[in-house]
Amino acid sequence: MSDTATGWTRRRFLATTAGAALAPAFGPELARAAAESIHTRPIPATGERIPAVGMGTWITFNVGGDTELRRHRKRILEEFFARGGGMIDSSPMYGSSEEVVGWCLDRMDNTDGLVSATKVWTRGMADGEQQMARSRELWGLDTFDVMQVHNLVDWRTHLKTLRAHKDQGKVRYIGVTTSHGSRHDELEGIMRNEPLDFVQFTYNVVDRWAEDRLLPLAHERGIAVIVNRPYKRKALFHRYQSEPLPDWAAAEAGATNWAEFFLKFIISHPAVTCAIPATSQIPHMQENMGALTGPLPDQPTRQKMARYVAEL
Amino acid sequence: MMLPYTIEVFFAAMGRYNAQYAVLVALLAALSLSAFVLAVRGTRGAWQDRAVGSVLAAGALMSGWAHQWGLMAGLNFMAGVYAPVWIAQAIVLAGTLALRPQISFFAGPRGAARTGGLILAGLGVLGHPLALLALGTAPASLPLAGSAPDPTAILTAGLLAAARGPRWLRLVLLLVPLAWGGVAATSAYLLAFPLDYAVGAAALMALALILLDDRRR
Repeated sequence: MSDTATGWTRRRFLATTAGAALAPAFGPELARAAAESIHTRPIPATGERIPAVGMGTWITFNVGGDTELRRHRKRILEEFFARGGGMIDSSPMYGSSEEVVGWCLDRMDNTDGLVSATKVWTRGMADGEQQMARSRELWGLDTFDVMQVHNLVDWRTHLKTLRAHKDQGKVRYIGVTTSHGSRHDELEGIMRNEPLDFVQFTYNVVDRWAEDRLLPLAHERGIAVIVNRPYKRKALFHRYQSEPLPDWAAAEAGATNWAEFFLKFIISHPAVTCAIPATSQIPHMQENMGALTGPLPDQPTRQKMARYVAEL
Repeated sequence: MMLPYTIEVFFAAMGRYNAQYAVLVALLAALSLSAFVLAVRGTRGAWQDRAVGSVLAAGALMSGWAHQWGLMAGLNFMAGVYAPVWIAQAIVLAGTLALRPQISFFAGPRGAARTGGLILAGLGVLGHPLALLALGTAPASLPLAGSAPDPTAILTAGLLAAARGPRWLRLVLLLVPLAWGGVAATSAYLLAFPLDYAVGAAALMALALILLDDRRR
């Protein structure tokens, strides 16, 4: 598994440098984070590297027009970027989330590290075109980094459009998504037969069925993997937060809290490109982004982590 | 399954909704209270029945057009499905209760259906917002009968149970409050906000009252 800071884009380098410059204002924790290499992963299609932890926006950024709630989400994004975050994933299905992300980005001084990812979630070519144009408008972007077909809805139609958009420079990478373990056979067929840059599905320390076929297939086919529901929504915290971390977690898995434990389990899989936990709380964002630094578990430790959780 | 928003976001949105439609919200809340009072006293004559029916129709229209389409569709794509159902309910209520009244709210003999129905209606107009206040909801964010689906559904269900008229028609008119009770109960579970179960419970109680109503038509 390649895991270095080499190959960063100029904007990423500048973003991190800016983060280090601002570090005194954010305290020693951020200073340490900014000084250390963060875990990045290459997108197989191009070799471009992105941070291995991004963020989702399901529920957490769907705050409608409330200005105070929007300001708080802006602070979440500032924390995300300051700690080396890159990918923000959203969808037209998430209510006002895309609009709120765009509102926040428009008011931020530095969004250089952004890897913008959203989805098309409708039927028909014309409606898909219209929806993607609306997404560009809401985010305030001319080009999306990643455009995905949401939950395989009318994927045959949209993949044609996405390929055309890629040729036209409206999108840099294309992909498809599923969630909560549904329609895996169909997804596998698409991964085998269609040229994709990205695929998104659910994978976490207790939902590990993707290890059998999807993750090896993505690795084999050179498809980047975005992992959604890394905490099985909040279920992993509800179940395990009252339990102690194993005493070997920090030394062997590089995890000092449960968020790092769960995320490092995911991003240490060699086929995973990026995990996208969602949060509306700054302390939780800080914990999430903690997984971008420090040691990662090796394969025997990953097995040990899964066993530990299963036996609790 | 999860809803795409939190209870915090819902009440923030309700605050903006109440501010945006302040005059209409206040007017429809006052009219809903008046309709409840009329039903408690017992209507006298068709025009009073028409008035109560018109208020229920207006509440359904506002719930569909402004609340679901105007407010919630931006937060939850399913609101785009609920909105036309509420608007259809408004049309049916207007046709059967306001234009050609086939149901009456006159006092008549007391019975479990009338008493129980009026208690439910009272919960919709007063009990629901007071319970929300007791739970700490800001007054400016309260969903009110006549402009928000939850209390409007409770009020409608209660008045249909209390009313006199063909049982089949009252059951048909109860379909949307019953369906909304299901939506609200699902929301109660998904948002961990137990008060929303009351909408489903009220609609089911109204159903039972109508089915058990042995008053002569």
